[in-house]
Amino acid sequence: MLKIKNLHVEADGKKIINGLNLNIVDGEIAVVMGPNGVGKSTICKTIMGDQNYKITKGSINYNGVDLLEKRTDEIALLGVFLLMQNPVSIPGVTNAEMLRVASGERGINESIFEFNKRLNEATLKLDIDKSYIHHNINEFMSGGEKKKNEMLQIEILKPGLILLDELDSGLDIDSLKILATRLYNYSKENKASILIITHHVNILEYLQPDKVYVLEDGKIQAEGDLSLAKKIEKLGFKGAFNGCE
Amino acid sequence: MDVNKGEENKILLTDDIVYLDKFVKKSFVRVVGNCTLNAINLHNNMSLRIEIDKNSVLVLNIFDYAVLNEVTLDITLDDGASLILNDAFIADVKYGLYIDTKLYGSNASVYVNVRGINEENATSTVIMNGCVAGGIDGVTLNEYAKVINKSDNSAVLIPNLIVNTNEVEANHGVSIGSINCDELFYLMSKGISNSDASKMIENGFLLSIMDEDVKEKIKNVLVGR
Repeated sequence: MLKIKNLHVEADGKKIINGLNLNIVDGEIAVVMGPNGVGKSTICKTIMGDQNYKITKGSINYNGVDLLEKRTDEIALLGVFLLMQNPVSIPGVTNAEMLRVASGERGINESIFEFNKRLNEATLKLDIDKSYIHHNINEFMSGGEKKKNEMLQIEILKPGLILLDELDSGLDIDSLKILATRLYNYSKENKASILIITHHVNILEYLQPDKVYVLEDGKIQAEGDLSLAKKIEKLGFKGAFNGCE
Repeated sequence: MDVNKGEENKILLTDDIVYLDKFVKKSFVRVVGNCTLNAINLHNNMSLRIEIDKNSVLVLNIFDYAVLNEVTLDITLDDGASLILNDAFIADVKYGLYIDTKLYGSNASVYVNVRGINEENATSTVIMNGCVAGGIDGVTLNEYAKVINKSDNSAVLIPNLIVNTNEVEANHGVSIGSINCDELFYLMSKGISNSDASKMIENGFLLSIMDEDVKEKIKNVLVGR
């Protein structure tokens, strides 16, 4: 379970998050919506231990562990996975090399044969070309291909909490449907929690969130179910606030 | 290729891929046809004088793991000759790379790409002199170098272009920096420790300019870092 309590975050001397409270239980799918620039992505990066963000007050706890005491790699090994809005490319380092090391860090003892078998099965599940495995990480890939590549990593590393930072950015409708549906099924199969960061509603049709939160001024201003998201789609963020707090 | 120690070694390359894995202080290489010369140089001083014949092509992949050594390359190109030089190095203490390319023939082309890592407290000097002779045309000359400097020690990169003719396409660029923090955060967010992630980024940075057939051999050297 993820518990965020009274979180205050600054970056470059500017207050971004001002008293955020958020709980996500195991297997729950939650979405944080909000207009551009309200600090949605900051939540993901702060959970993941990005040193560019300074926590001035509050706590982040995952399955009883204080994440503010942990480095980024330690947070990942606890089962947290950040699917970035714009995943970087790393020349000369292949997906297979990275995933082999990352699997080893998780204590997965397997032969190279077993590892390759898992990779091949994951590509089949996602309907992506096997050549992805030996690509340099995200190099010369389109926005959509990068997101598929991240999904491949999720299938191999089996996280318990997935932070989806604008998954829909750079994805065409068909790719969005495939990835979001696979994420939904992954969550159900593995009882994994998902925190979705978005300002669009179309992704939610496939991910069917249990809870919808609206972020403004660095804290949750409204909370509801999927009907709140649909209201936002119809009325915009300002209009949807009335009567749903 | 195993060569004798001692006097200048003479090598004739003709339409072949050759691994130069033992070194004399000086070697002379003549290139005829389409050739690849791969050299993995561990801690040796090396001096290569290379002549690329008319309409011949040389792809030269050099990897240097340098404690305290210098590499000198003196390369001349005839009409229509081409050189692709990929040089990756790790400077452990002090490293010097001096590349002189001389384009004597029309339609010759040179592409030099250098990548280096300066380990903590190591220094490196890379000087690239590209010289285009007068009275020739259709020539291309490119020189690029990037170094990741892991401390505040000296890294000197000098790309010189000396052009004595009117029609030439010439470019050069160098950069000295540290490990990309976004790449480091990305790998750490997959559960890889800071030190392992740094090594992966550094090794990838070096390997990304190398031809596929030499990458595996270099990886074997990098495993021991």
